[in-house]
Amino acid sequence: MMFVIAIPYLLNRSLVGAAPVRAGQVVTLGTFRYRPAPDWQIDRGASQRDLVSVLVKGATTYRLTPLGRQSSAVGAFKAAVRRYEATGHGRIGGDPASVSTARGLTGLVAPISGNTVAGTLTVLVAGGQGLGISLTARHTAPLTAEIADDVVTMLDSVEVVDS
Amino acid sequence: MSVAPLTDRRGRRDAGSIVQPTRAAFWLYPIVLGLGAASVVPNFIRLSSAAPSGAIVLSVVVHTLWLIPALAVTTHLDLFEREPPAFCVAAVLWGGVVATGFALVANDNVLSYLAKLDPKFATDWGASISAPVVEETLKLLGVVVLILINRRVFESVLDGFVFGALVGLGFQVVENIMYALNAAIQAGETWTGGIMASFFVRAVVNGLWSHAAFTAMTGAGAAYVLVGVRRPLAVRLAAAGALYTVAWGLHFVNNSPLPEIVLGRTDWYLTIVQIVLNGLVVLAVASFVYRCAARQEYRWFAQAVGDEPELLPLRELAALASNKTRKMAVEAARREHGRKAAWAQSRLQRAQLGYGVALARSADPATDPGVARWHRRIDRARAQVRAADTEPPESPGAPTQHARVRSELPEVP
Repeated sequence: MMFVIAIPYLLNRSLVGAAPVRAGQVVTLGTFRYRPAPDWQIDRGASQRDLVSVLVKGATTYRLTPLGRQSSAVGAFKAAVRRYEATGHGRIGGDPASVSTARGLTGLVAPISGNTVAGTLTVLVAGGQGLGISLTARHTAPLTAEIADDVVTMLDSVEVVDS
Repeated sequence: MSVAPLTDRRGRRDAGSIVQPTRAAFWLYPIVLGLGAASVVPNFIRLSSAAPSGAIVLSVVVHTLWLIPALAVTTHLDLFEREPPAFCVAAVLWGGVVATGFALVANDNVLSYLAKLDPKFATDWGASISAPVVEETLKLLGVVVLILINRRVFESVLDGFVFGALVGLGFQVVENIMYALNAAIQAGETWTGGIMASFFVRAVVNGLWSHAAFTAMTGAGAAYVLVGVRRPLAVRLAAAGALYTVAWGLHFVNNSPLPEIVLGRTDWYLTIVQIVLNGLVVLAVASFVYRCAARQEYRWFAQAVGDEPELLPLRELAALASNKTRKMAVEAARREHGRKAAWAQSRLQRAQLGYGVALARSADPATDPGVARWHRRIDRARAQVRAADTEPPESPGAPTQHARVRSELPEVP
Protein backbone atom coordinates (compact mmCIF):
# COMPACT_ATOMS: atom_id res chain seq x y z
CA MET A 1 0.00 0.00 0.00
CA MET A 2 2.83 2.33 0.85
CA PHE A 3 4.30 1.65 -2.60
CA VAL A 4 1.17 3.10 -4.21
CA ILE A 5 1.94 6.36 -2.38
CA ALA A 6 5.73 6.26 -2.29
CA ILE A 7 6.42 5.56 -5.97
CA PRO A 8 4.33 8.47 -7.36
CA TYR A 9 5.71 10.76 -4.63
CA LEU A 10 9.33 9.91 -5.42
CA LEU A 11 8.73 10.19 -9.17
CA ASN A 12 7.17 13.62 -8.71
CA ARG A 13 9.98 14.77 -6.47
CA SER A 14 12.57 13.59 -8.99
CA LEU A 15 11.55 16.25 -11.53
CA VAL A 16 11.68 20.00 -11.30
CA GLY A 17 8.42 21.30 -12.71
CA ALA A 18 9.49 24.80 -13.71
CA ALA A 19 9.68 25.48 -17.43
CA PRO A 20 10.74 28.86 -18.89
CA VAL A 21 8.08 31.01 -20.54
CA ARG A 22 8.48 30.84 -24.32
CA ALA A 23 8.66 34.05 -26.30
CA GLY A 24 5.15 35.20 -27.26
CA GLN A 25 3.48 32.46 -25.22
CA VAL A 26 -0.20 32.98 -24.46
CA VAL A 27 -2.00 31.06 -21.68
CA THR A 28 -5.76 30.51 -21.93
CA LEU A 29 -7.87 30.07 -18.78
CA GLY A 30 -11.53 29.51 -19.59
CA THR A 31 -12.75 32.71 -21.24
CA PHE A 32 -9.59 34.67 -20.34
CA ARG A 33 -6.08 34.68 -21.73
CA TYR A 34 -2.89 36.48 -20.77
CA ARG A 35 0.76 36.73 -21.73
CA PRO A 36 3.22 35.52 -19.08
CA ALA A 37 6.23 37.78 -18.67
CA PRO A 38 9.53 36.42 -20.13
CA ASP A 39 12.04 35.66 -17.28
CA TRP A 40 9.29 33.87 -15.27
CA GLN A 41 8.93 30.10 -15.02
CA ILE A 42 5.72 28.15 -15.53
CA ASP A 43 5.10 25.71 -12.66
CA ARG A 44 3.97 22.75 -14.78
CA GLY A 45 3.26 20.54 -11.78
CA ALA A 46 0.79 23.02 -10.28
CA SER A 47 -0.73 24.37 -13.52
CA GLN A 48 -3.73 22.73 -15.19
CA ARG A 49 -5.03 23.63 -18.62
CA ASP A 50 -8.05 25.97 -18.38
CA LEU A 51 -8.20 25.65 -14.57
CA VAL A 52 -5.12 27.26 -13.06
CA SER A 53 -1.92 28.87 -14.28
CA VAL A 54 1.00 29.21 -11.88
CA LEU A 55 4.14 31.24 -12.59
CA VAL A 56 7.16 31.51 -10.32
CA LYS A 57 10.13 33.83 -10.16
CA GLY A 58 12.50 33.30 -7.24
CA ALA A 59 10.33 33.32 -4.11
CA THR A 60 7.39 34.99 -5.85
CA THR A 61 4.33 33.08 -7.09
CA TYR A 62 1.74 34.42 -9.51
CA ARG A 63 -1.44 32.32 -9.74
CA LEU A 64 -4.42 32.87 -12.02
CA THR A 65 -7.70 30.98 -11.57
CA PRO A 66 -11.01 31.42 -13.41
CA LEU A 67 -13.84 32.08 -10.93
CA GLY A 68 -16.72 30.91 -13.10
CA ARG A 69 -19.88 32.93 -13.67
CA GLN A 70 -19.64 36.25 -11.81
CA SER A 71 -21.94 39.19 -12.46
CA SER A 72 -20.24 41.65 -10.10
CA ALA A 73 -16.72 42.44 -8.92
CA VAL A 74 -17.84 42.21 -5.28
CA GLY A 75 -19.23 38.69 -5.75
CA ALA A 76 -16.10 37.63 -7.63
CA PHE A 77 -13.92 39.09 -4.88
CA LYS A 78 -15.79 37.14 -2.19
CA ALA A 79 -15.36 33.92 -4.21
CA ALA A 80 -11.64 34.61 -4.68
CA VAL A 81 -11.19 35.34 -0.95
CA ARG A 82 -12.91 32.05 -0.04
CA ARG A 83 -10.69 30.15 -2.43
CA TYR A 84 -7.46 31.77 -1.31
CA GLU A 85 -8.14 31.55 2.41
CA ALA A 86 -9.13 27.88 2.05
CA THR A 87 -5.51 27.13 1.12
CA GLY A 88 -4.49 28.23 4.62
CA HIS A 89 -1.51 30.24 3.34
CA GLY A 90 -2.78 33.66 4.39
CA ARG A 91 -5.72 35.99 4.85
CA ILE A 92 -7.08 38.90 2.87
CA GLY A 93 -7.00 42.10 4.91
CA GLY A 94 -8.58 45.52 4.51
CA ASP A 95 -11.20 46.86 2.13
CA PRO A 96 -10.62 46.09 -1.53
CA ALA A 97 -9.68 48.97 -3.86
CA SER A 98 -10.78 49.36 -7.47
CA VAL A 99 -8.42 48.33 -10.22
CA SER A 100 -8.56 48.64 -14.02
CA THR A 101 -6.28 47.28 -16.72
CA ALA A 102 -4.95 48.82 -19.93
CA ARG A 103 -7.49 46.75 -21.90
CA GLY A 104 -10.38 48.18 -19.90
CA LEU A 105 -11.07 45.25 -17.57
CA THR A 106 -12.12 46.32 -14.08
CA GLY A 107 -12.09 44.66 -10.68
CA LEU A 108 -10.91 44.84 -7.10
CA VAL A 109 -7.59 44.38 -5.33
CA ALA A 110 -6.73 43.76 -1.65
CA PRO A 111 -3.59 42.83 0.31
CA ILE A 112 -2.74 39.28 1.38
CA SER A 113 -1.01 38.74 4.69
CA GLY A 114 0.22 35.47 6.13
CA ASN A 115 2.81 34.05 8.47
CA THR A 116 5.26 33.34 5.69
CA VAL A 117 3.92 35.25 2.68
CA ALA A 118 2.61 38.68 1.69
CA GLY A 119 1.09 39.92 -1.54
CA THR A 120 -2.11 40.97 -3.27
CA LEU A 121 -5.33 39.36 -4.45
CA THR A 122 -6.88 40.83 -7.59
CA VAL A 123 -10.13 39.94 -9.30
CA LEU A 124 -11.20 40.98 -12.77
CA VAL A 125 -14.71 40.61 -14.15
CA ALA A 126 -15.60 40.67 -17.83
CA GLY A 127 -18.31 39.08 -19.96
CA GLY A 128 -20.06 37.67 -16.87
CA GLN A 129 -16.95 35.68 -15.89
CA GLY A 130 -14.44 36.28 -13.11
CA LEU A 131 -10.68 35.78 -12.89
CA GLY A 132 -8.78 35.63 -9.61
CA ILE A 133 -5.08 36.53 -9.51
CA SER A 134 -2.92 36.09 -6.44
CA LEU A 135 0.61 37.44 -6.19
CA THR A 136 2.52 36.20 -3.16
CA ALA A 137 6.13 36.45 -2.08
CA ARG A 138 7.86 35.00 0.93
CA HIS A 139 8.70 37.50 3.66
CA THR A 140 12.36 36.70 3.16
CA ALA A 141 12.21 37.89 -0.48
CA PRO A 142 10.15 41.06 -0.78
CA LEU A 143 8.77 42.20 -4.14
CA THR A 144 11.29 44.03 -6.29
CA ALA A 145 10.53 46.84 -8.73
CA GLU A 146 11.30 44.48 -11.61
CA ILE A 147 8.75 41.93 -10.40
CA ALA A 148 6.17 44.70 -9.85
CA ASP A 149 6.67 45.88 -13.46
CA ASP A 150 6.25 42.32 -14.75
CA VAL A 151 3.06 41.90 -12.73
CA VAL A 152 1.55 45.15 -14.10
CA THR A 153 2.44 44.05 -17.63
CA MET A 154 0.86 40.62 -17.13
CA LEU A 155 -2.27 42.15 -15.58
CA ASP A 156 -2.59 44.54 -18.52
CA SER A 157 -2.28 41.62 -20.94
CA VAL A 158 -5.41 39.87 -19.59
CA GLU A 159 -8.22 39.86 -22.13
CA VAL A 160 -11.45 38.03 -22.83
CA VAL A 161 -11.02 35.35 -25.49
CA ASP A 162 -14.16 36.22 -27.45
CA SER A 163 -13.43 39.94 -27.68
CA MET B 1 -33.44 -12.00 -0.18
CA SER B 2 -31.17 -12.39 2.82
CA VAL B 3 -31.34 -14.80 5.71
CA ALA B 4 -29.33 -16.50 8.43
CA PRO B 5 -26.59 -14.73 10.32
CA LEU B 6 -23.16 -16.25 9.83
CA THR B 7 -22.53 -19.18 12.15
CA ASP B 8 -19.59 -21.52 12.22
CA ARG B 9 -19.61 -25.31 12.23
CA ARG B 10 -20.28 -25.36 15.96
CA GLY B 11 -23.25 -23.06 15.51
CA ARG B 12 -21.59 -19.96 17.04
CA ARG B 13 -23.29 -16.85 15.73
CA ASP B 14 -20.17 -14.68 16.09
CA ALA B 15 -18.22 -16.45 13.35
CA GLY B 16 -18.66 -13.33 11.18
CA SER B 17 -17.33 -10.93 13.82
CA ILE B 18 -14.95 -8.22 12.71
CA VAL B 19 -13.33 -8.13 16.16
CA GLN B 20 -10.36 -10.46 15.67
CA PRO B 21 -7.61 -9.27 18.03
CA THR B 22 -5.36 -12.17 17.04
CA ARG B 23 -5.22 -11.00 13.42
CA ALA B 24 -2.66 -8.33 12.47
CA ALA B 25 -5.04 -6.99 9.80
CA PHE B 26 -7.57 -6.18 12.51
CA TRP B 27 -5.06 -3.72 14.03
CA LEU B 28 -3.82 -2.51 10.64
CA TYR B 29 -7.32 -1.47 9.57
CA PRO B 30 -7.84 1.41 12.08
CA ILE B 31 -4.30 2.68 11.46
CA VAL B 32 -4.79 3.03 7.70
CA LEU B 33 -8.30 4.36 8.31
CA GLY B 34 -6.73 7.14 10.38
CA LEU B 35 -4.13 7.81 7.69
CA GLY B 36 -6.84 7.96 5.03
CA ALA B 37 -8.90 10.33 7.18
CA ALA B 38 -5.82 12.54 7.59
CA SER B 39 -5.93 13.05 3.82
CA VAL B 40 -9.68 13.10 3.15
CA VAL B 41 -10.79 15.38 6.00
CA PRO B 42 -8.42 18.31 5.26
CA ASN B 43 -9.39 18.05 1.58
CA PHE B 44 -13.07 18.25 2.52
CA ILE B 45 -12.43 21.23 4.79
CA ARG B 46 -10.46 23.02 2.05
CA LEU B 47 -13.07 22.35 -0.62
CA SER B 48 -16.05 23.26 1.55
CA SER B 49 -14.30 26.47 2.68
CA ALA B 50 -13.56 27.44 -0.92
CA ALA B 51 -17.07 26.60 -2.15
CA PRO B 52 -20.10 28.84 -1.56
CA SER B 53 -21.89 28.23 1.73
CA GLY B 54 -24.52 25.53 1.25
CA ALA B 55 -22.51 23.66 -1.39
CA ILE B 56 -21.30 20.99 1.03
CA VAL B 57 -24.83 20.43 2.37
CA LEU B 58 -26.36 20.10 -1.11
CA SER B 59 -23.56 17.80 -2.30
CA VAL B 60 -23.77 15.51 0.72
CA VAL B 61 -27.59 15.39 0.65
CA VAL B 62 -27.95 14.46 -3.04
CA HIS B 63 -25.19 11.87 -2.89
CA THR B 64 -26.54 10.34 0.32
CA LEU B 65 -29.97 10.06 -1.28
CA TRP B 66 -28.28 8.20 -4.13
CA LEU B 67 -26.20 6.04 -1.78
CA ILE B 68 -29.14 4.61 0.20
CA PRO B 69 -30.79 2.68 -2.69
CA ALA B 70 -27.35 1.83 -4.09
CA LEU B 71 -26.41 0.20 -0.78
CA ALA B 72 -29.74 -1.62 -0.67
CA VAL B 73 -29.18 -3.05 -4.16
CA THR B 74 -25.58 -4.04 -3.44
CA THR B 75 -26.25 -5.77 -0.11
CA HIS B 76 -29.04 -7.79 -1.75
CA LEU B 77 -26.73 -9.16 -4.43
CA ASP B 78 -25.79 -12.08 -2.18
CA LEU B 79 -28.50 -14.64 -2.81
CA PHE B 80 -28.34 -16.85 0.24
CA GLU B 81 -27.12 -15.01 3.30
CA ARG B 82 -26.82 -11.61 4.87
CA GLU B 83 -23.26 -10.23 4.97
CA PRO B 84 -22.21 -9.18 8.51
CA PRO B 85 -23.17 -5.48 8.88
CA ALA B 86 -19.85 -4.60 10.56
CA PHE B 87 -17.98 -5.91 7.51
CA CYS B 88 -20.29 -3.99 5.17
CA VAL B 89 -19.57 -0.76 7.08
CA ALA B 90 -15.83 -1.54 7.11
CA ALA B 91 -15.90 -2.09 3.33
CA VAL B 92 -17.69 1.20 2.63
CA LEU B 93 -15.35 3.06 5.01
CA TRP B 94 -12.30 1.57 3.33
CA GLY B 95 -13.52 2.80 -0.03
CA GLY B 96 -14.63 6.21 1.20
CA VAL B 97 -11.79 7.02 3.57
CA VAL B 98 -8.75 4.79 3.06
CA ALA B 99 -8.80 4.28 -0.71
CA THR B 100 -9.95 7.85 -1.41
CA GLY B 101 -7.45 9.38 1.03
CA PHE B 102 -4.47 7.49 -0.36
CA ALA B 103 -5.64 7.94 -3.96
CA LEU B 104 -5.82 11.73 -3.51
CA VAL B 105 -2.12 11.82 -2.63
CA ALA B 106 -1.00 9.28 -5.22
CA ASN B 107 -3.08 10.69 -8.11
CA ASP B 108 -1.92 14.24 -7.38
CA ASN B 109 1.70 13.14 -7.52
CA VAL B 110 1.26 11.10 -10.72
CA LEU B 111 -0.60 13.92 -12.47
CA SER B 112 1.96 16.48 -11.32
CA TYR B 113 4.79 14.21 -12.51
CA LEU B 114 3.17 13.74 -15.93
CA ALA B 115 2.47 17.49 -16.21
CA LYS B 116 6.14 18.19 -15.59
CA LEU B 117 7.02 15.80 -18.42
CA ASP B 118 4.38 17.06 -20.88
CA PRO B 119 1.44 19.25 -19.79
CA LYS B 120 -0.73 18.43 -22.81
CA PHE B 121 -0.19 14.69 -22.47
CA ALA B 122 -0.97 14.95 -18.75
CA THR B 123 -4.24 16.78 -19.45
CA ASP B 124 -5.33 14.25 -22.09
CA TRP B 125 -4.08 10.97 -20.64
CA GLY B 126 -3.13 11.69 -17.01
CA ALA B 127 -6.41 10.50 -15.48
CA SER B 128 -6.47 7.30 -17.54
CA ILE B 129 -2.88 6.43 -16.59
CA SER B 130 -3.03 7.31 -12.91
CA ALA B 131 -6.54 6.45 -11.71
CA PRO B 132 -6.90 2.79 -12.87
CA VAL B 133 -3.59 1.67 -11.36
CA VAL B 134 -3.80 3.68 -8.14
CA GLU B 135 -7.51 3.38 -7.42
CA GLU B 136 -8.12 -0.24 -8.45
CA THR B 137 -5.12 -1.35 -6.38
CA LEU B 138 -6.17 0.61 -3.29
CA LYS B 139 -9.77 -0.58 -3.49
CA LEU B 140 -8.74 -4.22 -4.03
CA LEU B 141 -6.52 -3.98 -0.95
CA GLY B 142 -9.67 -3.20 1.01
CA VAL B 143 -11.15 -6.61 0.10
CA VAL B 144 -7.80 -8.28 0.85
CA VAL B 145 -7.61 -6.65 4.30
CA LEU B 146 -11.19 -7.75 5.09
CA ILE B 147 -10.25 -11.31 4.07
CA LEU B 148 -7.21 -11.14 6.33
CA ILE B 149 -9.32 -9.91 9.24
CA ASN B 150 -11.78 -12.81 9.04
CA ARG B 151 -11.61 -15.18 6.11
CA ARG B 152 -14.68 -17.11 7.29
CA VAL B 153 -16.84 -14.24 6.06
CA PHE B 154 -15.64 -14.97 2.52
CA GLU B 155 -17.24 -18.32 1.73
CA SER B 156 -17.88 -17.78 -1.96
CA VAL B 157 -16.85 -15.68 -4.94
CA LEU B 158 -20.14 -13.81 -4.52
CA ASP B 159 -18.97 -12.55 -1.10
CA GLY B 160 -15.91 -11.00 -2.76
CA PHE B 161 -18.14 -9.49 -5.43
CA VAL B 162 -20.46 -7.90 -2.83
CA PHE B 163 -17.68 -6.57 -0.57
CA GLY B 164 -15.79 -5.28 -3.62
CA ALA B 165 -18.92 -3.46 -4.77
CA LEU B 166 -19.32 -1.94 -1.28
CA VAL B 167 -15.71 -0.72 -1.25
CA GLY B 168 -16.24 0.78 -4.72
CA LEU B 169 -19.48 2.38 -3.61
CA GLY B 170 -17.80 4.11 -0.66
CA PHE B 171 -15.02 5.34 -2.92
CA GLN B 172 -17.45 6.52 -5.57
CA VAL B 173 -19.63 8.53 -3.20
CA VAL B 174 -16.78 10.37 -1.45
CA GLU B 175 -15.05 11.06 -4.77
CA ASN B 176 -18.32 12.28 -6.30
CA ILE B 177 -18.92 14.69 -3.39
CA MET B 178 -15.44 16.12 -3.95
CA TYR B 179 -16.10 16.46 -7.68
CA ALA B 180 -19.39 18.19 -6.89
CA LEU B 181 -17.64 20.67 -4.57
CA ASN B 182 -15.02 21.36 -7.23
CA ALA B 183 -17.80 21.91 -9.75
CA ALA B 184 -19.45 24.37 -7.35
CA ILE B 185 -16.18 26.28 -6.93
CA GLN B 186 -15.59 26.49 -10.67
CA ALA B 187 -19.17 27.40 -11.54
CA GLY B 188 -19.16 30.66 -9.55
CA GLU B 189 -22.63 32.12 -9.04
CA THR B 190 -24.32 29.13 -10.73
CA TRP B 191 -22.86 26.70 -8.18
CA THR B 192 -26.11 24.79 -7.60
CA GLY B 193 -26.22 24.02 -11.32
CA GLY B 194 -22.58 22.91 -11.14
CA ILE B 195 -23.32 20.48 -8.31
CA MET B 196 -26.42 19.06 -9.98
CA ALA B 197 -24.64 18.66 -13.34
CA SER B 198 -21.75 16.87 -11.61
CA PHE B 199 -24.22 14.66 -9.71
CA PHE B 200 -26.15 13.84 -12.88
CA VAL B 201 -23.08 12.86 -14.89
CA ARG B 202 -21.10 11.07 -12.18
CA ALA B 203 -23.83 9.49 -10.01
CA VAL B 204 -26.94 9.13 -12.18
CA VAL B 205 -25.50 8.43 -15.64
CA ASN B 206 -22.33 6.64 -14.49
CA GLY B 207 -24.28 4.98 -11.70
CA LEU B 208 -23.25 1.71 -10.13
CA TRP B 209 -21.41 0.67 -13.28
CA SER B 210 -18.20 2.53 -12.50
CA HIS B 211 -16.19 2.13 -9.26
CA ALA B 212 -18.65 -0.27 -7.64
CA ALA B 213 -18.59 -2.54 -10.72
CA PHE B 214 -14.80 -2.35 -11.15
CA THR B 215 -14.09 -3.33 -7.55
CA ALA B 216 -16.82 -5.98 -7.57
CA MET B 217 -14.84 -7.70 -10.35
CA THR B 218 -11.47 -7.44 -8.59
CA GLY B 219 -13.08 -8.45 -5.26
CA ALA B 220 -14.59 -11.53 -6.92
CA GLY B 221 -11.09 -12.41 -8.16
CA ALA B 222 -9.62 -12.08 -4.66
CA ALA B 223 -12.37 -14.26 -3.20
CA TYR B 224 -11.84 -16.84 -5.94
CA VAL B 225 -8.18 -17.20 -4.93
CA LEU B 226 -9.40 -17.92 -1.42
CA VAL B 227 -12.37 -20.24 -2.02
CA GLY B 228 -11.73 -21.91 -5.38
CA VAL B 229 -9.55 -24.53 -3.73
CA ARG B 230 -10.47 -27.24 -6.24
CA ARG B 231 -8.33 -25.44 -8.81
CA PRO B 232 -4.53 -25.06 -8.58
CA LEU B 233 -3.33 -21.82 -7.01
CA ALA B 234 -1.75 -20.71 -10.30
CA VAL B 235 -5.13 -20.98 -12.07
CA ARG B 236 -6.87 -19.02 -9.31
CA LEU B 237 -4.20 -16.32 -9.35
CA ALA B 238 -4.46 -16.14 -13.15
CA ALA B 239 -8.24 -15.71 -12.91
CA ALA B 240 -7.87 -12.98 -10.27
CA GLY B 241 -5.21 -11.29 -12.42
CA ALA B 242 -7.50 -11.47 -15.44
CA LEU B 243 -10.36 -9.85 -13.51
CA TYR B 244 -8.04 -7.11 -12.23
CA THR B 245 -6.82 -6.51 -15.79
CA VAL B 246 -10.39 -6.29 -17.10
CA ALA B 247 -11.34 -3.80 -14.36
CA TRP B 248 -8.16 -1.82 -14.99
CA GLY B 249 -8.82 -1.82 -18.76
CA LEU B 250 -12.43 -0.68 -18.40
CA HIS B 251 -11.37 2.06 -15.97
CA PHE B 252 -8.61 3.11 -18.38
CA VAL B 253 -11.02 3.41 -21.33
CA ASN B 254 -13.55 5.19 -19.10
CA ASN B 255 -11.02 7.92 -18.24
CA SER B 256 -9.22 8.10 -21.58
CA PRO B 257 -9.85 10.37 -24.57
CA LEU B 258 -10.09 7.31 -26.88
CA PRO B 259 -13.75 7.89 -27.88
CA GLU B 260 -12.86 11.52 -28.63
CA ILE B 261 -10.03 10.36 -30.88
CA VAL B 262 -12.20 7.68 -32.58
CA LEU B 263 -15.27 9.89 -33.10
CA GLY B 264 -13.38 13.11 -33.73
CA ARG B 265 -15.87 15.15 -31.68
CA THR B 266 -15.68 16.92 -28.36
CA ASP B 267 -19.29 18.03 -27.76
CA TRP B 268 -22.17 16.65 -25.70
CA TYR B 269 -22.78 13.92 -28.27
CA LEU B 270 -19.35 12.51 -27.45
CA THR B 271 -19.99 12.67 -23.72
CA ILE B 272 -23.28 10.80 -24.06
CA VAL B 273 -21.78 8.16 -26.37
CA GLN B 274 -18.83 7.73 -24.01
CA ILE B 275 -21.01 7.37 -20.93
CA VAL B 276 -23.54 5.01 -22.53
CA LEU B 277 -20.95 2.81 -24.24
CA ASN B 278 -18.71 2.64 -21.18
CA GLY B 279 -21.70 2.04 -18.93
CA LEU B 280 -23.12 -0.76 -21.05
CA VAL B 281 -19.80 -2.54 -21.48
CA VAL B 282 -18.93 -2.31 -17.77
CA LEU B 283 -22.43 -3.41 -16.80
CA ALA B 284 -22.28 -6.37 -19.20
CA VAL B 285 -18.91 -7.56 -17.89
CA ALA B 286 -19.90 -7.08 -14.23
CA SER B 287 -23.20 -8.90 -14.85
CA PHE B 288 -21.32 -11.81 -16.41
CA VAL B 289 -18.99 -12.09 -13.41
CA TYR B 290 -21.98 -11.83 -11.06
CA ARG B 291 -23.90 -14.57 -12.89
CA CYS B 292 -20.90 -16.91 -12.74
CA ALA B 293 -20.48 -16.21 -9.01
CA ALA B 294 -24.22 -16.57 -8.33
CA ARG B 295 -24.35 -19.89 -10.22
CA GLN B 296 -21.48 -21.20 -8.12
CA GLU B 297 -23.26 -20.09 -4.94
CA TYR B 298 -26.50 -21.75 -6.08
CA ARG B 299 -24.66 -25.03 -6.78
CA TRP B 300 -23.24 -24.90 -3.25
CA PHE B 301 -26.74 -24.37 -1.87
CA ALA B 302 -28.35 -27.05 -4.06
CA GLN B 303 -25.73 -29.61 -3.01
CA ALA B 304 -26.46 -28.86 0.64
CA VAL B 305 -30.22 -29.39 0.35
CA GLY B 306 -30.23 -31.88 -2.52
CA ASP B 307 -31.22 -34.82 -0.28
CA GLU B 308 -34.25 -33.12 1.24
CA PRO B 309 -37.04 -33.42 -1.37
CA GLU B 310 -39.81 -33.24 1.23
CA LEU B 311 -38.50 -29.93 2.57
CA LEU B 312 -37.28 -28.55 -0.74
CA PRO B 313 -38.96 -30.16 -3.77
CA LEU B 314 -37.05 -29.75 -7.03
CA ARG B 315 -39.45 -27.11 -8.39
CA GLU B 316 -39.06 -24.97 -5.25
CA LEU B 317 -35.30 -25.45 -5.27
CA ALA B 318 -35.16 -24.20 -8.86
CA ALA B 319 -37.24 -21.18 -7.87
CA LEU B 320 -34.57 -20.19 -5.31
CA ALA B 321 -31.85 -19.83 -7.97
CA SER B 322 -32.02 -16.04 -8.22
CA ASN B 323 -33.92 -13.03 -6.93
CA LYS B 324 -35.80 -13.00 -10.22
CA THR B 325 -36.99 -16.63 -10.04
CA ARG B 326 -38.00 -16.12 -6.40
CA LYS B 327 -40.12 -13.11 -7.33
CA MET B 328 -41.65 -15.08 -10.19
CA ALA B 329 -42.69 -17.88 -7.82
CA VAL B 330 -44.20 -15.39 -5.36
CA GLU B 331 -45.98 -13.61 -8.19
CA ALA B 332 -47.40 -16.92 -9.47
CA ALA B 333 -48.76 -17.67 -5.97
CA ARG B 334 -50.33 -14.20 -5.89
CA ARG B 335 -51.99 -14.73 -9.27
CA GLU B 336 -53.34 -18.16 -8.39
CA HIS B 337 -54.35 -17.77 -4.75
CA GLY B 338 -54.05 -14.10 -3.77
CA ARG B 339 -51.94 -11.92 -1.54
CA LYS B 340 -51.95 -14.24 1.48
CA ALA B 341 -50.56 -17.07 -0.64
CA ALA B 342 -47.84 -14.79 -2.01
CA TRP B 343 -46.85 -13.76 1.51
CA ALA B 344 -46.81 -17.41 2.64
CA GLN B 345 -44.73 -18.38 -0.39
CA SER B 346 -42.21 -15.63 0.37
CA ARG B 347 -41.99 -16.80 3.97
CA LEU B 348 -41.47 -20.40 2.83
CA GLN B 349 -38.63 -19.29 0.58
CA ARG B 350 -36.91 -17.45 3.44
CA ALA B 351 -37.21 -20.52 5.65
CA GLN B 352 -35.85 -22.80 2.91
CA LEU B 353 -32.89 -20.47 2.33
CA GLY B 354 -32.12 -20.32 6.04
CA TYR B 355 -32.39 -24.09 6.29
CA GLY B 356 -30.03 -24.63 3.36
CA VAL B 357 -27.39 -22.27 4.73
CA ALA B 358 -27.63 -23.75 8.24
CA LEU B 359 -27.43 -27.26 6.79
CA ALA B 360 -24.36 -26.46 4.71
CA ARG B 361 -22.54 -25.01 7.69
CA SER B 362 -23.50 -27.63 10.24
CA ALA B 363 -21.05 -30.35 11.25
CA ASP B 364 -23.84 -32.56 12.58
CA PRO B 365 -27.19 -31.57 11.01
CA ALA B 366 -29.09 -34.33 12.81
CA THR B 367 -28.48 -32.76 16.23
CA ASP B 368 -27.88 -29.13 15.27
CA PRO B 369 -30.51 -26.92 16.98
CA GLY B 370 -30.05 -24.22 14.29
CA VAL B 371 -30.95 -26.69 11.52
CA ALA B 372 -33.92 -27.96 13.53
CA ARG B 373 -35.17 -24.39 14.05
CA TRP B 374 -35.18 -23.70 10.29
CA HIS B 375 -36.82 -27.09 9.72
CA ARG B 376 -39.71 -26.07 11.99
CA ARG B 377 -40.00 -22.72 10.19
CA ILE B 378 -40.33 -24.53 6.86
CA ASP B 379 -43.09 -26.72 8.30
CA ARG B 380 -44.98 -23.68 9.61
CA ALA B 381 -44.53 -21.75 6.37
CA ARG B 382 -45.67 -24.73 4.28
CA ALA B 383 -48.79 -25.09 6.42
CA GLN B 384 -49.52 -21.42 5.73
CA VAL B 385 -48.99 -21.97 2.00
CA ARG B 386 -51.41 -24.91 2.03
CA ALA B 387 -53.99 -22.92 4.00
CA ALA B 388 -53.68 -20.00 1.59
CA ASP B 389 -53.96 -22.35 -1.41
CA THR B 390 -57.35 -23.64 -0.21
CA GLU B 391 -58.84 -20.13 -0.12
CA PRO B 392 -60.62 -18.98 -3.30
CA PRO B 393 -58.45 -16.79 -5.57
CA GLU B 394 -58.98 -13.04 -5.52
CA SER B 395 -60.14 -11.72 -8.87
CA PRO B 396 -58.96 -8.21 -9.78
CA GLY B 397 -62.55 -6.89 -9.90
CA ALA B 398 -63.71 -8.54 -6.67
CA PRO B 399 -64.76 -6.15 -3.90
CA THR B 400 -62.33 -5.72 -1.02
CA GLN B 401 -63.21 -6.78 2.50
CA HIS B 402 -63.90 -3.13 3.34
CA ALA B 403 -66.18 -2.72 0.33
CA ARG B 404 -68.08 -5.89 1.24
CA VAL B 405 -68.77 -4.60 4.78
CA ARG B 406 -69.92 -1.26 3.39
CA SER B 407 -72.32 -2.95 0.98
CA GLU B 408 -73.96 -4.81 3.85
CA LEU B 409 -74.64 -1.59 5.80
CA PRO B 410 -78.18 -0.15 5.53
CA GLU B 411 -78.69 2.89 3.28
CA VAL B 412 -78.75 6.18 5.19
CA PRO B 413 -81.67 8.39 3.97
